[in-house]
Amino acid sequence: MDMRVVNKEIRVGEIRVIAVASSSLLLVGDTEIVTLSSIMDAPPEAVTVGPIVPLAAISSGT
Amino acid sequence: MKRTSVVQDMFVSSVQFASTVFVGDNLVVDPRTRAIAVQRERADFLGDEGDFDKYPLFRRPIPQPGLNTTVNLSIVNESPYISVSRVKAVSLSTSAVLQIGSTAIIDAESRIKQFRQLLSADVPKFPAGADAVARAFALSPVVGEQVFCDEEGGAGPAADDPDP
Repeated sequence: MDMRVVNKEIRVGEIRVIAVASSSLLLVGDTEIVTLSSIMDAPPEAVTVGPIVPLAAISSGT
Repeated sequence: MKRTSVVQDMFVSSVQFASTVFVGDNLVVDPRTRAIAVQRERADFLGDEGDFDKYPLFRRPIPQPGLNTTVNLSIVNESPYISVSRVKAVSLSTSAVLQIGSTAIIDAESRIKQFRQLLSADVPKFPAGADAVARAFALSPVVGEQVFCDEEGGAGPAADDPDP
């Protein structure tokens, strides 16, 4: 496949963003390869009602 | 041949948790995020809760799309500049990047596991407004005013001259 791109001119007045978060990018510039991956897991079993059970702490190795 | 980025003004209020404001060109940007997000109706936390190794989410491979076709790409830039008058960002958080400049390869990954722990099922069904919704889900209020209000107190953005 042959692909030809002609960039004319890009001029932007103002960019306003509230937040850039969790491995996101706001880029003013050129790039060649962009790969973005996201896993967001909020399954039904992760919503609990009742006495709050704390999450297990990191178990120490010894 | 990449273009030169020209930005006149940049305002950033907060840069947190391994985030970067970068002015210049770069070869590779590969941000990684792992987060366990716990929202509790009563905000009592032990301080050492959470172990990424306990959840397979943080280990599973993420499938990438394959390149099945060879692409011969040619790019013609009629203007040598990418021009932006002003960039305003309230916050960057958790491996985020704000870059003025070019970067060849971007490879970003975010893995977030959410827990919501309610004390009882008695959640208001018809919240009075945005504040009530935020309380119900223990979210932080969005600080938008400093982004969306002009310093001179005008009604909205003026027709800026974007010439570099």
